[in-house]
Amino acid sequence: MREPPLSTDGKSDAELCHLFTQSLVELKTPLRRIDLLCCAIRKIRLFESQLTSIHADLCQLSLLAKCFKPALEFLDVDITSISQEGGQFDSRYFLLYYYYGGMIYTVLKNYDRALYFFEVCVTTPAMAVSYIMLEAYKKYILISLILHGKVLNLPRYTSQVINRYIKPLSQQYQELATAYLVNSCEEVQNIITKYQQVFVRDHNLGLVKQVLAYLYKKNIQRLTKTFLTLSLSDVASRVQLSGPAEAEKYILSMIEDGEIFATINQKDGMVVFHDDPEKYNSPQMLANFEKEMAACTELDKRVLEMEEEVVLTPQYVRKACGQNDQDDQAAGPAPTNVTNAQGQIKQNTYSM
Amino acid sequence: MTSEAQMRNTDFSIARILSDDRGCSPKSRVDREKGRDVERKPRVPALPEAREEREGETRRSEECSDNVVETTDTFLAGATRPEVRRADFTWLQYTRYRPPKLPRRSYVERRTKRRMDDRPRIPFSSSQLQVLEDRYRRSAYLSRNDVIEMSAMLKLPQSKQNVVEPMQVDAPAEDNDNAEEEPYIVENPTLDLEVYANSYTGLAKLHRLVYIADHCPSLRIEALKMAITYVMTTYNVSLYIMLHKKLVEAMGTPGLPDVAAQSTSQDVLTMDQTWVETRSKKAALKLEKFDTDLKNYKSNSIKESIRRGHDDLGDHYLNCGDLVHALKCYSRARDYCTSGKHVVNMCLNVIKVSVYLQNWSHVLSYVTKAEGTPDFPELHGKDNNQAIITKLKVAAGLAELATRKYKMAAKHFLQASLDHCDCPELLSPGNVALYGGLCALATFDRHELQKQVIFSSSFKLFLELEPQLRDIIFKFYESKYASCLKLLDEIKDNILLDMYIAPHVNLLYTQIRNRALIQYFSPYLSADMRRMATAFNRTVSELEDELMQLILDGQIQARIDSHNKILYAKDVDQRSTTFEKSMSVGKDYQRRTRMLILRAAMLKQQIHVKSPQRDSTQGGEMSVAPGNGTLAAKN
Repeated sequence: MREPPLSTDGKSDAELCHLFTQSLVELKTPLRRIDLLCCAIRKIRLFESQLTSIHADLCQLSLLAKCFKPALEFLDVDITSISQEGGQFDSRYFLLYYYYGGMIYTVLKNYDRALYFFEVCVTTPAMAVSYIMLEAYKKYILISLILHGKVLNLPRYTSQVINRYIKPLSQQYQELATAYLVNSCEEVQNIITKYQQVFVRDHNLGLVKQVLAYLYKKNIQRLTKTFLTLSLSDVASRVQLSGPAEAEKYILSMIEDGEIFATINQKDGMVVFHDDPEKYNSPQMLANFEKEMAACTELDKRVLEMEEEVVLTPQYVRKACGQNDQDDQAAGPAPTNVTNAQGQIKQNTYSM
Repeated sequence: MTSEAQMRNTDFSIARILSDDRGCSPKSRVDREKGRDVERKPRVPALPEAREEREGETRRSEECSDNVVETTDTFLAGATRPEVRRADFTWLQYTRYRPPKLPRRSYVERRTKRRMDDRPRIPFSSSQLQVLEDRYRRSAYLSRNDVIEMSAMLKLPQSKQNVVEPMQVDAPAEDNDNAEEEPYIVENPTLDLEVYANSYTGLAKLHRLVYIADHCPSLRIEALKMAITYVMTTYNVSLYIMLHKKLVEAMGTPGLPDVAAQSTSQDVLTMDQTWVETRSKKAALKLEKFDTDLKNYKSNSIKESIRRGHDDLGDHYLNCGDLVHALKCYSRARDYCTSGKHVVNMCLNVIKVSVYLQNWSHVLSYVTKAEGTPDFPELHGKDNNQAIITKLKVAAGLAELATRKYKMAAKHFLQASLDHCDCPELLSPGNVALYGGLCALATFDRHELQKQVIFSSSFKLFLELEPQLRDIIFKFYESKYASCLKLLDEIKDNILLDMYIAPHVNLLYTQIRNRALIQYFSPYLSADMRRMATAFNRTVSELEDELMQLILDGQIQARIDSHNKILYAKDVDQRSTTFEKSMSVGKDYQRRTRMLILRAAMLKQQIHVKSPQRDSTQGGEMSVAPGNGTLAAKN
C-alpha cells in the first residue's frame, strides 16, 4: 500500500491515490506522504501541463499540512490538457484542484493567481449547483475586492447556474461588495458584524477582515491621487482611522510594501505623496517587457496551433464546407468524398 | 326599432359589413378579407382543397354564432346601444386560430379582478419587513401562536394580524414614492401667480397650479382658488371635487386667523352641487352626441369625418379630464389620416395627452413619428411649419429633461423659435428659456455655450423673457462665478415651483457648480485655494472636498497641496502611462488566453457539473476542506 505499483491504466492509479489521500487525511498525517503523491503525478501525467485528478489530492494534503512548496511546483504550470484516466476524470476533481489551488495562492498572498484559479472554478460549465463552486464564488468575491476593489464581472460563458442559484446563496458577500463600493469602512464594518456568524461558518472571516484592511489601504491610495501633501490627522479623518498614529502605521507599511510612494515628515506631521518613480527607462524594465512580449507571442502561437488542429478535424471540415458547398464546387474539387456526397444532396434540395 | 334591427341584420351586403366594422383594429381588416371570401364562396366553388377546409370551418362557426347573435339582438333590441351594433358581426373575425370568446369566460375574469375593498394591501415599514422576511427565510409557515407573538413584536394592530403571513409581504408603497420625489416646501417665492397662470391654458394650467398648491403653503389658497375658477369652465368634474376638498383642507389648517377673508371666501367654500350635476349631465350628453356622430360617420365610411369624429371625442374626453380615453381616441384617429398634415396633427394631440400623463417614452416616439412623416418639411406654408417644429422640439425637450438626458433636452429647447412658440397647453416661452438655459449651462462646454446659446439669434429672444437667467448665463460665460452662483440661488425658489424641472434642480445645480469649478481651474497650472474659495462662496475645507470628488471622478487633472492650500495641475507623463497601459493590457491578454486554452481542454474532456446526487457527498467533504484552508489563510 505504501508503494503503489503504477499500472498502465491511469484509472486504477488515480483511484488508489484518492484512497491513499483519504486515509492520510483520516490519520491526520498529511505531511508524511506529499512527496509520494508528487512522484505519482510525475509518473502518471503524460507531459508537464497535463492535469490529473491526483493534483487535487496533492493540493488538499499540502493545505492540510500547511506545506505549499511541493504543490506550487505543479500549480505554477498552466494546464493545457486533462488526463483521460479511462474516461473517468470526474469534474469534481477538476473543481477541487482549482478551489484548493486558489486557496493555496490566497495563503501565499498571490491574489492575482488566486483570482484566476477561483475564476476557472466558477466558470466551469455546470448544470447543477456544486458546493465547491459556491465556496469558490464566495472567495472569488472577496479576492476580487482585495485585488481590484470591486467584483469583476464574470465572463459571458459562465453558466446560468451562477446567476440563478449561486448568487442568491452568497447574498451576504454581495452585500459586502456593495458596501465596499462606496469606500466607507464603517459600512463594511457594519456588514461584517451583521453577518459575522455566516462568515465564521464559511471559514472566511480571516479573508473578510483582510478585505476591510485593504479598504483602508485603498482609501489611502485614493488620497495619493488627489493630494500632494496632507497632514496625518487629515489622513486619519478622511480614511476614518482612529487617529494620526494609526494612519502613520498604515502609511508606513504601505510605503514599505511599495504600494504608495510617500514620505512622512514627522516634525509637522505631514505626508508628502510622490508620483510613481518608475520611469520605464531601466534595462531591467526593458528585459521585463521583452519577457512579457515573448510570453504573449508564445501563447499566441499555441492558440494558432490549437486552431489548426481544430481546422484539420474531419468534423470541422464537413461542417464548414457543408454550408457553402456551391462555392466549394465552383472553386475546385471538394476535399473529401463525404463532403462531396453531402454537397450533392444539399444541392438537390436547394434546386427543389 | 325591433324591425329595423332585424332588417339591419338581414342586410348582408359587403358594403354594410365593412362600414360597420370600421372601428376595429387594422388587424381585423385581414379577417374581413376572409369574410369576403365567405360571401363569394357559393359562386366560386372551385377553390383549392386546403382553402376550402378553412372556409368550411369559418362558415360553420358563422352559422352557429349567427343564431346567437340573432337572439341576443332581438332580446336587446329595445335597449340597443350603438356598441351592440358594432359588435354584431364580430364572428366575421373568428377563425380556427381565433375562436370566439365565450361570454361566460369574460364574466369569470371580471369576477376574479381584485376589488378595492376585499383585502387591501397592507403597507409595512421597512424594519417590519426585515423581520418578516427573515422569519420567512427560516420557515414559510406559521402557527397561530407564532402569528400572535410576531405581531406583538412588530406592534401590529389587530386588523393587520391576519396579514402576517410572510409570503404575502409587499414592499411599502410610500417608501417608493419618497425615493422618487422628496417632499419639499418652498417658503417665500417671488412669483406673480396671476401672470404665471395666464401663460398656460387647459390642463397644463391646472396641473401647475395644483403643483404650486402642494409645495408652497403661502400661495396654496390663492392657487387653489384660481384653479377652481378655471376648472369651472371645463367639464372636469372630478378635478373640481378634488380641488375643492383640498381648498377646504387648506382653509381649515391655518385655524381662523382672519375672519374677513373667511367670510369673503364663503361662496367658494361651499361646493357648487348644482354646477357639478349640470356639468356631469352636460358632459354625458355631449359624449353621447359625439359618439353617435362618430357612429354615423363610420357607417358613411368617409375617412375624413371619422378622423374628425375621433378628434372631437378625444377633445371632449380631454376636457373632462379623462386622459386615458382621450389618448385612446386620438391614437385611433391614426388609421384615418389621409395626408401628412393629419398625421402630424394626430401626433401633436397624442403628444399633448402623453405629456399630461407623463408618459415620456410615448412622447419621444411620437415626436420622431411626426418628424418622420414623409412630406413633413414642405407642409403648408413656412410659418405654420415652424410652429409645428417648435412644438415638437419643445415636447421632445421636455421628455428628455424628464428622463434626465439634459444635454439632449438642451439641444431640443435651443431649436425652438420664439415667434412660433405658441403652445400654452404645454409650456410658456419663459419655460423654454429656463429649461433650455439651465440644461445648457449644466451640460455644454464653453465653446458650445458661446456658439449655441449666447450667439444664437433665436434663443437670445427667449432669454430676454427671463432676464435673471440671461444674467446668469452671461456671468457664467464671463467667469464671474460667485455672482453667477448667487443669482442661481436667488431664482432657486421659483424654479422649485415648476413642476417639470423641480425634481432636477439639485442635480442641475451641482452640475453647473462642477462645471464652473472645472472652468475656473482650466487655464492655471497652480491655483490658490483660498482665493478660489472666495470666488465660489465656500470655505476652504468644503472646496477641498468638492475638488477631491472632481479629481476622483477624473474631471479635473490636478492634485491638492493641503499644507499650503494650493491646487496643482497634474502633468501626465504620456510615456509612462503608455508603458503602464501596455503592460496591463499584455497581462490581461495572457490571462485570458490561458483561460481560453484551459477551457478548450475542459470542453474536450467534457468536464461538466451535472449529477445532482453527487452534491451531497461533495458538500460533506467541503465542510472539512474550507475550514483547513482558511485557517491557513488567516495567518
